[in-house]
Formats: sequence, structure tokens, C-alpha cells
Amino acid sequence: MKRLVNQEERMISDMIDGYVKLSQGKVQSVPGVNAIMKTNCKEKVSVVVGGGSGLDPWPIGYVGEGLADGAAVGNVFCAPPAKSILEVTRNVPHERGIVYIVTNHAGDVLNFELVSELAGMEGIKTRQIYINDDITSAGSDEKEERRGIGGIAILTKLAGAVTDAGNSLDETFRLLEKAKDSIGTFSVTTAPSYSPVTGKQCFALEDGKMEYGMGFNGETGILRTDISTADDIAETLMEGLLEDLGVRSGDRVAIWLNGYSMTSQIELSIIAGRCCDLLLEKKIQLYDIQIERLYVTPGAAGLSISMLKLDEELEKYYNTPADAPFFKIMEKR
Amino acid sequence: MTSEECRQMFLAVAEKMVNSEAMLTEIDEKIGDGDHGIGMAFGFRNVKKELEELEAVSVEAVFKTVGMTLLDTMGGASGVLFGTIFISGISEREPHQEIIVGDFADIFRKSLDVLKKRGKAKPGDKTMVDAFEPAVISLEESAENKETMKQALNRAALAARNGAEDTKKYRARFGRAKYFGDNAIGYQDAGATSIWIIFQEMSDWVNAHE
Repeated sequence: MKRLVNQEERMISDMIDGYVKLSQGKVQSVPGVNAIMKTNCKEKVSVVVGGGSGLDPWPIGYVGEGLADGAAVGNVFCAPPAKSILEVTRNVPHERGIVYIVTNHAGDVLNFELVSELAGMEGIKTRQIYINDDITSAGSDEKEERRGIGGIAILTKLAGAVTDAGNSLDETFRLLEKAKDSIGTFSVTTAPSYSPVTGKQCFALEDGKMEYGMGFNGETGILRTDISTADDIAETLMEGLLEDLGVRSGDRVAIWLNGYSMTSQIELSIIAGRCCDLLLEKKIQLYDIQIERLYVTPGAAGLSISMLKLDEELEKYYNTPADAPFFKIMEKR
Repeated sequence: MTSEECRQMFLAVAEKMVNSEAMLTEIDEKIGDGDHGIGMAFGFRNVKKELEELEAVSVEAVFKTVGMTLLDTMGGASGVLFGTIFISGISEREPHQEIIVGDFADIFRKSLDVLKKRGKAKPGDKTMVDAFEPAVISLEESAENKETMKQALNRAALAARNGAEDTKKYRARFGRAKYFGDNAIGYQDAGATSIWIIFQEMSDWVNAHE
């Protein structure tokens, strides 16, 4: 039992309470539901995210400058109820419409689809983007079946930039759909996570083994093998991403290393080094590289790499700062 | 059955669901996320609270209270899907003070149609549809054969139970269970089990309150 909470049934509302204080006035809670929004929302297309808690700091930590305007916060590993999403929708500026940025999981899709209908009945225009970036969760012939994972961080940041620039809802949707299709994520898990609800280990992964493409609740991945070297892992993840996204020499990419909570900056730096070299060898331009913990379960070890294939249009929106307590990305290094 | 009796029956269903948390968790841990029991107990604990205070002005009001409470508080896929079962069938109905077998058949048929569309599940996909559809068909047959409420709900509960049992034969197309492939065969679906529990308790309540 490793968790630190007061009362289990209050853990999400307590988290929101603490987070609002932590933000020093930059975010506020949405009354009556488990949700937050920015205090200084602008009149523009609003970006609303939502999902289950437990994949820190998603979704609560994705609200901020250059990021989302509001977030519906679900219980641990459980999509937020439609009511929470609808309340965020009503509270953020919605005159110019709302774009929902969501991971492709049944519970999230069902609730956001329902809210889009309900919002429509209230005269609020919405579009939904379901990111399906986990390249190992289904083949390239059935991409719509793929899960959404860490690529949501890049997509949310792009959504903040695209809407801050004053784009219309339709143009926002077009740009973000394109961005969504240009993002892939490939993961390797080397130690299991624990549940913040029960404090117990979520699934078994024997010592000395690692698994590629494993889901965050222990969903079977594509390969379980002995733990190998940092270089070997970097190559496997990068080769998989380059192939899936169809990246060729001369193309430009940004890569985000999302280190799981138990994997050190030492290990991540070694892996990052090999990623950079590999791109150089293949004559692929490295536009930007970031190492951040932006989609991680407690106690797990390993990492995921998200890759964004850039073109001029996306590059323009990529190169903007983002600022929230757990999500600080400066402009391109 | 009067709207007040309907309220009491769903109150019993809510209590039963809350008390089934451990059993559902055990089933769901095998091939699911392991949180189905927690979610259902959470949702129906709220349903119980709401129904206890509800004045059952109509059967539709009772259904709506159950459905909206699940939808507003549960979250996840289950919140929408179990909410759908109680809301979608009554959304266009005029208020009634009584409910007969044919009404249960009509209401749940409509819910089933919306559920299948919304959840994109077909029979045999190892979901709640596998228990719900046989129960609805059974209710329709009972209505046609002019069976009593007791006969109809007993039969529907049996059909839901058999349907839930049958999910053991299937591979899953949704959720964590999907990643088990053939290894999901032999395990029962938790959502289908919850449907069975709902119909079983409806049937048990009618048997005890005839």
C-alpha cells in the first residue's frame, strides 16, 4: 500500500482542490462537478479535454497557457461522466465553438459523443478529435481501433496554439485532424504500476522482463522479452515510429520522450542520445526533442516515445510555449 | 405494476447491485479493468439515494431517475451504456401511472436499439448486449402470449442469465478483454453479468411482492 490520500471517495475532488491552489489563481474548479477551467479564458474556440485520472498529469494538468481551456476529470482510469464534460462546455467561452481533445477509449468516446449531442441542443457547436496514436494497439489497416496515449500531450499543445491564433472551429478541426494523423506513440514497460485507488500493483511483469506496447492497465502488448540495452530500446521504438508514420530521409520530426515515473533522467538521456544519432544516420531532421513526464502511471518504469511528423503548417503551431504547473514546454530548444 | 411498485422494485435492484460489488470485481479482474463492480456500486448507491426520495409520479419518472443518476455520476463506458438502458426507452413516452408487460418490452426494446447503436456492439461481442437482447426478446414473447408480470420477469431473468453465461464462449471486441484474444474464452463478461443481476432482482422482487 503506497498511496497517500485522505478518503478514497474524496481523492479526485481533493486533488482538484489542491491543484487549484497550486496553480496560484490560474485555474478554478467548475462548480458541482469534478472539472477545472482557466481563470482568464479568451474569446476564441475553446479547447476542452477530459479523461480518467491516474495517467499523470492528464487530464487535469493539461489546462493552462497555450494548452486546454478546461478539463473534465474522471475517477482513476475511468472516463468522466457526460455531466462533467457538459458543465465545462457551458462554463468556458463557447460562442465560437469548442474542440474536444480526447483519447480513443470506449468510455471517453461514448461520453464525449453524448455531450456533443447535448451541447448541440443548447446551440453550442462542438467538434471532437479522438487521438489514436498507440501504433501497437492495432494494425495500420485498422487505425480507428487504436488506443490514444501519450501523443495527447502534443495534440493538446497544438490545439492551444491553433485556437490562440484565432482559427475558426472548422479550421481548428482540419489542422488538428491532420496533426492527429501525424502523431504516433510506441511504448515499453519495464515495471508495473500501482493503482492510486487501492495502492496495489495493477498487473504482473516479472523482474528482468519488459514488454513493448503494453497498455496502462496491463493490456497485452506486442512483445515480452528480456530487458535489453538503452540503445536497443531506442532503436526499436524509433524504427517502429518512423515506419508507421512513413517518415523518410529529408522529413522533419519532433520527438517527445515520456519517461515513466520510475525511470531516471540518466536512463532517458542515454535513450534520447541514441534517438538523435539514429535520425542523423537516416538523414531525418530532428526539429525538436523533449523529455517530460506527461502521461504516466504511478510506479511504472519504462517510457513511451511520441513522434510528430511536421510540415510547415504544423511547425508554425508547434513552436509556441505552454505553461501549467506540471506541463511546461518552452519554445523549440 | 404501479409506478410506486416500480420505484420499490428498482430500489431493490439498486441495493442488489451495491451488494454485488465484490462478485462483479472478481469477474471483471479476470479479463476486464477490474473496476466494473466499483463503478456499478458507485452508480447504484446514488440511484438508491435518489429513489428513496423520489415521489413516483409516473413509471417514466422512475426510469428517468435511475438512468440520469447513472449517467451523471458513474462515468466510463458503463455510465453511458447503463444510463441508456433506463433513459432511451422512455425519452419519448407520455407519463403513465402503471406499467404492464408490453410496456417493459417496448421500453427495453427501444433502449436496446439505442444501446447497440451507441456502443457499436453486436450479439456475440462479449458485452452487456449478450444478456440484454435475450431478455428483451423474452419480454416481447411474454407480451404476445399475454403472460403475467411474474411469468414475464422470471423468464426474462432466465434469458439474461443464459445470455450472460453464453459470453464465456466468445472472444471480446471491446475493452481490455479484447487484448486477450482467444484467452478470453471461458470467462464471463462483467457487463452482461450486471444485466442479469438487474433482471434477476426485478424477477425476485415481483415473486416476493405478488
